[in-house]
Amino acid sequence: MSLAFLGGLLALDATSVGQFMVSRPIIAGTLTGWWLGDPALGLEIGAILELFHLAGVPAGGSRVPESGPASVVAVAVAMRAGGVAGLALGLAAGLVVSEIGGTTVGLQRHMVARFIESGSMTARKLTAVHLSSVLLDFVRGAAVTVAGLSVAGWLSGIFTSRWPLPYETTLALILVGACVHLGALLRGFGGLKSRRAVFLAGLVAGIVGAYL
Amino acid sequence: MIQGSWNYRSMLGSGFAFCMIPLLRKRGLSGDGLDDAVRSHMDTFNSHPYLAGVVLGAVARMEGSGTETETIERFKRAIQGSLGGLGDLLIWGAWRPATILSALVLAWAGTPPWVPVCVFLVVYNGGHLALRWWGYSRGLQYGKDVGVQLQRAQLSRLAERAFKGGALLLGILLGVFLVSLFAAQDAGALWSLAGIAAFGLGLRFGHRALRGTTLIVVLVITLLTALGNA
Repeated sequence: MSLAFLGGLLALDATSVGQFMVSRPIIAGTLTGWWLGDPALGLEIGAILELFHLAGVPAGGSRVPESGPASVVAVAVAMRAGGVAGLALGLAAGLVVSEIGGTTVGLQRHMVARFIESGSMTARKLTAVHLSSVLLDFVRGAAVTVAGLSVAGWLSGIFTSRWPLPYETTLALILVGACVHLGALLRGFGGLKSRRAVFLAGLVAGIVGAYL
Repeated sequence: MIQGSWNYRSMLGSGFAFCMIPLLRKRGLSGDGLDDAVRSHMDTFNSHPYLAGVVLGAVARMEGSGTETETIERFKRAIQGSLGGLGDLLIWGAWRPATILSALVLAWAGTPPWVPVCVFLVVYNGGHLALRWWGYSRGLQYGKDVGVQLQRAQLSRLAERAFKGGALLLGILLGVFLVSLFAAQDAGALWSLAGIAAFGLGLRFGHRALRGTTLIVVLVITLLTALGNA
C-alpha cells in the first residue's frame, strides 16, 4: 500500500506537479530502496534503469516510457528476488512497467481532453477539471505500481531460481544494451563529429580513473 | 502545476487558463467576466513547462494594461513554438541528461547513495527553478516585448555548454563501463567490443534504436530465465 502511494506521488512529479525529477529512475529507485531498507540496492537498480531512460526526450507531448512507478516496481522486485536474479528481473520488470505506464499516460490525456471538451468552461469548472486531472494522475500511477508489483512480484517468485548467469556476466549483458542508449544520447548532444574532443577527453579520463 | 490537466485537445491550454485564474481575480474580475476571461485562454497552447511562465507573466501584464484579447492570442500563438523548441533543447536535451550523467558517474564511483541523489536534485533544480523564476519575472516585466529579452539572454548558448559537459560525462561513464565492467569478464575483450558496437549502433540510429533495444533486453532476460536452468 505504501509503495502504491509512493508510485502515485512519483507519477505526479513526472508531468502534473512540479517536475522536480524525483521520478527519474536514479532518484526514485534510491528513494524506494530507502523506503524498503536498502538504499544501496535501490541506487544500483535505479542507476541501471536510468541508463535505459536517459536518452528519451518528451518533446511536444510525445509518448515516452514512464519512469516513476516503474522504478518502484523494479527495486521492489529486485529486493524480493535478491542477488543477481533480482538485478535482471528487476530491470526487466522496470522496463516493461515503464512502457505500460507511458501508455496509460496517453490514455489519461485522452480522457482529460474529453473533460475539457464537455460543455462550456467556467473558472469553477476548470478548477475542478484541473484538480481532478491531477488526482487522476496520482490514482493512475498508484494503479500502475500495484499492477506491476502484483504481476512482476508473482512472476519473479516463480522464476528467481532459474536465472543462469553470474553477477558480472549479467551486468555486462545489461550494460551492452545500455550502451545503445548512451550512443543515442551522444547523438542527441550533437553527435561524435561536433563533440569529439570533449567526449574523447571524458573517455580517456573514465578509462584512466577506472584503472586507478 | 500548469501541466496538471495536459491533454491532447488543448495541450497546456487548460493548465494555462487555470494558472491565469488568480491573476484575473487580482484584476478584480469575478462571475461572468471571470468565466469569459478564462474561456479566452482555453485554446490550444503548448510550450515547455519551465518556460510557460514567460508567457504567463507577459499575458498577465498585457491583461493588466487592457490589451485586446485577439492581440494576446496572437502573441501566445507566435511565441509558443519558439519557447517549446528552446525548452526542449535546453532542458530535456541538454540540462537534464547532463545533470543525470553527473549523478550516474558519482553512483558508479561508489559514493554513498545520498550523494548522487542530492547532487542531482540540487544542481538540476537549481537551474530549473532559476529558469522558471527568470522566465516569469521577465514576462511580467516586458510583456509582449519579452521575445527580445529571450533573444538577448542567449539561452541556446547555455544549452551548448550543457551539451559539452554532458558529452564529457558521457565519455567518462563509457570509459568506466568499458574498463571496470567489460574488461573484468573472462571474455572481457568480446564484451568490450560488444559495448563499443552497441554504442555505435545508438550513435548511428539515435532515438529510433531505443524501443527496440529495450524490447531486446527484456526478451533476452525472459529467454535466459525460461531456458537458463532447464
